[in-house]
Amino acid sequence: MIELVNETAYAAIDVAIREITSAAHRPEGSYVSLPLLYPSGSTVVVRVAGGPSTFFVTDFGMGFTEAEMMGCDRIYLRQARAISERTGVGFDEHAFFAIRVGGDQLAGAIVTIANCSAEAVTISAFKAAEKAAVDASEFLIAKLETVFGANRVARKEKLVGASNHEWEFAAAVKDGRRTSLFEFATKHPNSVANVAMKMGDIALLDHAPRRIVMVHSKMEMGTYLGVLSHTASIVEETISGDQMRKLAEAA
Amino acid sequence: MHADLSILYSAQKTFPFRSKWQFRDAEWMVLTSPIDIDGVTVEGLKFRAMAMRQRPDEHVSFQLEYYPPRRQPRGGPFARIEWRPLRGHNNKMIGPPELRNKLQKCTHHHEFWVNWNHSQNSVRKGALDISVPIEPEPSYDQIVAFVGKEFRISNIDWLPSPDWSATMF
Repeated sequence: MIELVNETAYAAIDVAIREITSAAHRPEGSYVSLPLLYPSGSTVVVRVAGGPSTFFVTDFGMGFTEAEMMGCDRIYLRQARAISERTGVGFDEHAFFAIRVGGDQLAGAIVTIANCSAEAVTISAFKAAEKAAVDASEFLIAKLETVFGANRVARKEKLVGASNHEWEFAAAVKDGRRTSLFEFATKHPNSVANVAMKMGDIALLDHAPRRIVMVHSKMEMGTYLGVLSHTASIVEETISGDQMRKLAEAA
Repeated sequence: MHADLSILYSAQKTFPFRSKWQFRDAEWMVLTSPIDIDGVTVEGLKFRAMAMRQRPDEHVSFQLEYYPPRRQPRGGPFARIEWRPLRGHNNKMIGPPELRNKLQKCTHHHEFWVNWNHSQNSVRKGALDISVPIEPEPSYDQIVAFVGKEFRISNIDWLPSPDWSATMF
């Protein structure tokens, strides 16, 4: 355990704490910078206006702007509305706000607005990463249809696994009695876990269909590749049509 | 497959036309423009600037962004410059050692190569986690010239100043 040894250490800590929060006073209000970070690493700033008895606190659309710059502003609007409902904080489609905030509530309102803004951006960034996986599935399906023909590719194929749970797969390629199941996995832990779970359950079936997982880059997947390769073959999205055909025919 | 962002970043670029600032809402204005390389308007490549309507001479962001057609990887900004920001930036525990855990409150640059060399995958997804301060604090004209030089946009003088004339305060 590290112990603080003298008053100099306390003073350094006090200086650091004073640096964590700051306010820039402007005619339209005071911009308060807080020790909260958006996913980009930018600090969360809220604006306080009004006073001296009641105040107006808003993130003045900073969260929306952060999301817009990351290309997930539409997701942000949905998340922000939900957070607004859950927390009772106002949201006007651009900014979180709290009105008629008393002086004794001001500190709490600043923290609440800042957290709502940061949470909405963080969730939006997370959801945008998930959405990329859906877009990737569309690419996978398009590629399968090019290689095998649209009539042999079934989208959103459902199959019951050994657990008796019904799973949905991005696509299946059917050739007579032979079926190959396809999924796309991203490096995101949720994506890997989800794909590994469904492939594992199918692998336990008698006469299990061939299972193929497409990834953007094997290098990028790192050790997650091993998690997926327990129960499925893995290909990169740059795989040629011939290789894809051979893989499915080996089923 | 994805475009090589390092090639896009290094290429000499131009604005294909003179874009205008648009008022997005009561607080913000935005300017976006496609980008030309060798006379071709490149799919998914865009310049974006943002400013606050009521904050003249403060808090203007400039960024280059690229969104692959299939959004895989998802794309996003791959270089950004923040002029006189109201919000600071913290590199956390990455990037140049001397800048770690330091709050950069002044004009700073989410420089492409610093971020690219740290994590290409992060940059392809629009995460620019590392910034470096720009010192001394530049004027607006100086930062626009800097944006032109860093982003390699030869006709950066086509970028109009933000329209702060409707400032309410």
